[in-house]
Amino acid sequence: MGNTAGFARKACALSGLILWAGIGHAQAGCLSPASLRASNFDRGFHQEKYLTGMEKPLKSEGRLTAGSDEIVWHMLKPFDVKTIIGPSGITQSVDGGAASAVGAGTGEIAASVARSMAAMMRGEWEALRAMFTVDVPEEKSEGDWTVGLTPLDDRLKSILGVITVHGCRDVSSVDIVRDDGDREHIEFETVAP
Amino acid sequence: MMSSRLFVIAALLVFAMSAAFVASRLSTGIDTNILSLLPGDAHDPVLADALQKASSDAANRVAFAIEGGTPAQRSRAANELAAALETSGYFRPASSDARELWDWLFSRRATLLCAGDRAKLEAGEGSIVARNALMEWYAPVTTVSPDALQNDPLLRTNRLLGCLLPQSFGLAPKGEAALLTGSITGAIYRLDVQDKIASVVDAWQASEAARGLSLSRAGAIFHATYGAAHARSEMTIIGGITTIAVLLFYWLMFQSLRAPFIAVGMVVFSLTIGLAAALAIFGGVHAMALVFGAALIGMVVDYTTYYLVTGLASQDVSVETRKAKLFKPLTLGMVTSVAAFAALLLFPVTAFRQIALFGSVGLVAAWVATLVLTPRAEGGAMKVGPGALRVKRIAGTFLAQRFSFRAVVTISLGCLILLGIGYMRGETLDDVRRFQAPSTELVAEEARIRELTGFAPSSSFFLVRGDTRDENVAREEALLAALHERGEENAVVWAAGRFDPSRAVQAAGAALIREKLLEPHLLGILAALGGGNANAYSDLGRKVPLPGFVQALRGETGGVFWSIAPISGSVDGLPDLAGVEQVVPARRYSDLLAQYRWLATWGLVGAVFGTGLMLLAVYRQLSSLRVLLPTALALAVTPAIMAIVGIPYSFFSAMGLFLVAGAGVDYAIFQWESPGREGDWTRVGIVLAAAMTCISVGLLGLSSVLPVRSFGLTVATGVLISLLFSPLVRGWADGQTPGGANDD
Repeated sequence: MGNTAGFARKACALSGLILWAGIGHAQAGCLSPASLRASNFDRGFHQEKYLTGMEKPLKSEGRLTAGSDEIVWHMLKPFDVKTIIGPSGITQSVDGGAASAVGAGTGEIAASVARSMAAMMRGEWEALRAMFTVDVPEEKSEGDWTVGLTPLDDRLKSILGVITVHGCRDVSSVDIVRDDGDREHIEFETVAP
Repeated sequence: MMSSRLFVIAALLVFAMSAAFVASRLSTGIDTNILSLLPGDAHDPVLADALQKASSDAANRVAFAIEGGTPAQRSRAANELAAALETSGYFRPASSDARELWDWLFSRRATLLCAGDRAKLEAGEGSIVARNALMEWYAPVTTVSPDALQNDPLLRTNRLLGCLLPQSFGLAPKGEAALLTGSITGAIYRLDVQDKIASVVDAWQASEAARGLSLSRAGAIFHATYGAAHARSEMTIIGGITTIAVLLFYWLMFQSLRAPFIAVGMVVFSLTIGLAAALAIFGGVHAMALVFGAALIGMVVDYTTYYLVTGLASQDVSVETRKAKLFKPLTLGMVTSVAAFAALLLFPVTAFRQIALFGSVGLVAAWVATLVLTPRAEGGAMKVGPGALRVKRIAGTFLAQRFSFRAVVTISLGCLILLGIGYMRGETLDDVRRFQAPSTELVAEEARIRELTGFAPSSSFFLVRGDTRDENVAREEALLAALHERGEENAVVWAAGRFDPSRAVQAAGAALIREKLLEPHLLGILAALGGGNANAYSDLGRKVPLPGFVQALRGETGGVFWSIAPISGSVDGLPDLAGVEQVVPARRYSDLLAQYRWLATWGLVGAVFGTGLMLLAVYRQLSSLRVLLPTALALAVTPAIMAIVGIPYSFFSAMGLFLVAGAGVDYAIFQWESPGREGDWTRVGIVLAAAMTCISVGLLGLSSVLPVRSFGLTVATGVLISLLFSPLVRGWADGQTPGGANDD
C-alpha cells in the first residue's frame, strides 16, 4: 500500500515535473504577436463556417500562400477554387481551369479581407490599423496569445464581424464572429520547425 | 412739381424694395459654374439637357486621399472628415450609394443576370451556375448577408454586384493612404455650399496638418471654389479702384465732394435695381454677370456726368433747361445701349441673358436717376474744378477738330489695312479647355489621387434616345451588345440599362432563372447547404427605387427619353446604331462657341444697321449716319489690335464689341448734338465717361478667366478708339474748326 502510495506520489511528482517541463518548453517557444515576421508563407488551412439556419457547418480546406506581391487562397475541398489577389486585380480559376477576373463590389471586399488575412499571418498589426481597431496584448505573455481586430468601418463590421487571431510562434487559428451569431473558424497547419 | 416729387418717391421706393430683395437672395443666388458661360444648344434640347446632366453628375463627385501618419491616424482622420462633411448637410458618402445599389439588386435577384450566367443558362448549363453559387458559400471570407440563406441562398445579389459594377469601382488606394469618396448633395456652384465645404476641409486641415497628415482633393467643387474666390477678389479690386477713380475724377472735375457721392449713389441705385431684376427673373445670377456688371459702373456714371457737366457751362441755367438739353441725346444713347445689351438675349447662354437684363434694367434705372434724382441731389453745388479745365483744353484740342475729307479717307483706309493685318496675324479661340487656368495645387492633388486609385475620369459619353423609355433602354442594350462583340464592354463605365434593363430583357431573364436555375437546382443547393428557404425567389419583397446615381444617367426632354453612358478612354469606329451618338462635351461646346462667334459677329453688323435706322428715324437726314462712322471703325480696328497684341478673337470678344457699339454711339451722338463751341463741356463729359468705362472695364483685362480678360480688353480698347474717332461725326471741310451737323 505504502509502495503503491509512494509510487503514486512519485508518479504525481514525475508527471508534475513533466507537465512543468512541458509548459516551460511551450512558454519558451512562443513569440509575442509583435515579433511575428513571416514575410512569405505557405500554410494549409481548415475552415468551418457556422451559419444560422444550417444544420451543420460548411467545411473546406486548402492552402493559403503569400508572396511579396501576391496572395493565393487555394481551396482544394470540397471544390477546387484558386483565388489570386495580385497588384493588377483578383482572378479566380475553378478545377484548374483558366483564370478569370473577379468583378468589383463583393470581390473587392473579399480581396480587402484576404489582404488583411495575409497581414495577420505576417503579424503586420500596424498596417491592419488602417481597417481595424487592433487589440494586441501589451504585456509579453509567455504562452499562446490572442489579438482582437474590430473593423473601423461599421458596414465592414456588419459584413465581416469581429476577428480574433490565436497564435504562438505563428498564427494558429482565426475566429470570426458576427453580430447575428454566424461564425467562422479557420485553423492553420503548424509550420514545420 | 407734385408729379416730380411723386417720381422721386416712386424711384426711391423701387430702390428700397430692390435692395431688400437683393440682400435676401444674394448669398444663395450666385452661380460660379464656368459651364454656365457656355452656350446651351437650342437646336437640340435633348443634347443640351444631356450635357448639363453629364456635367452636373460628374461635377458632384468628390474624393479625398489622406496620407502621412500611421494607418490608425489616417483611418481616424478619414472618419472624422467624413463625419464633419456629413454634418455640413451637403455630403453623401459613397457607402450610401452602395447601400442603395445593394437594395436594388436584391430586389431584382430573380430578374437580372450577369452576361456570363445568361449564356450558361441559355446553353443549358444551369448546373454550373448553381455550383458556382455553392462555391461562393465556401469561398474564403465570404461576404454573405446575414439573411442570405432565407432570402438569397444562391447569392445572386453578390453575383450581380460582382459583374455589374465597373472594374474601377471600389479600388483600394495604393500605398499608404486612406480614401474617402462621395458626392456633394447641394449645388456645387452655389457660394454658400462652397463656403460650407471649404470651411470643413480647412478646419480639418488645420488640426490634422500638425499631426503630419496631408490631404489631396479631387472634384469640381474645389475648382469652383477656387474660381469663385478669384472672381470675388477681382470684383473687389475692380469695384474698389473704380470707386476711388470716380471719387478722384469727380472732385477734380467739380470741386465738390457732393459730386462723387451723387455718382456713387447713382451707381448703387442703378446696379441694385438691375441686379434685383436679374435675380427675380432668373432666380440667381452668374458670378461673371456680376464681374461684367462692373462694366456698368462706368456707363452709369456717364449719365450722371453728362448731367453735371451741363451745369458747368453756366451757373444761371435752370434745371429744366439742362434736362431739356440733355434729354434727347441721353435718351437716344440709352436706347442704343439698351439695344446693344438686349442683343445678348439672342444668345442661348443663361449668363449672357442675365448680363443683358442686368445691363438693360441698370441703364434704364440710371437714365431715370439722372433725370429725376440727380437734379435734386446736385442742388447747384457744382463748380469748375482744375481737372475740368485741363480736360476741356485737351478735349478742345483733340475732340473738337474737324477732319478733312482726305484725312477721313486716310483714317478709314488705315483702319482697313489694320483690319487686314489683324485678320492675317490673328487667331480665333473656341476651345473651352483654354478658358481658365486651373489651380496648379488642385491639379497636382487630382493627379495624386489618380496615381493612388488608378481611376481616370470620363471625358465623353454615349447619348441614347428613344420615343419610349423601353425603346431607349433597348437601344442602350444594342449599344452594349455591339461593344461586347468588339471586346470593349468596359469602355462604358456606367449604363442605367445594366441595372434596369428593358422589359423584354427582364422577362426573358426571369424566365431563364426560373426554368433553368431555380426549378432544377435550388432544392439541391439547399440540401447541400443543409438548410435555407425554398421560396426565397418567389416573394421578392418590397419594391425599391432605382439608385439615385443610376437614375441620374437618365432624363426626358420634350417627350424624348434619353440616357447617357459615360465612356472611359475612347471608342472609335463604332457602327451606326439607331438613336446612339458619341458626345465629347468639350468638343461640342467648342463647336457651338465657334458658331456663336460667327453669329455674334454678324449680330454686330445687324446692331450697327439697326442703330442707323434709329438715327434716321430720329434725325430724318441721311448725314446723321455719320454718327455710325466712329463706332464702325472702332468695331473694325479693335479686334485687329487685339490680334496684333496676341489676344485671340472669341465669342466673348464679340460680346465686348456689343458694348463698344453701345458706348461708342453715345459719344458720337453727343458730338453730333453739340458740335460747336457750345459742346465744349459736353466733350468734357464724353472724355470723363470714356475714361470711367476704360478704367472699370479695362481692369477686367487682369482677370484670370480668358473670356473676362478678352471682354475687358476689347471694351476698353474699343471705347478709347470710339472716343478718339468721335470727331468724325462732323462734316468734313478743310480749315473749319470746330463745326458740326448744324453747320452743314
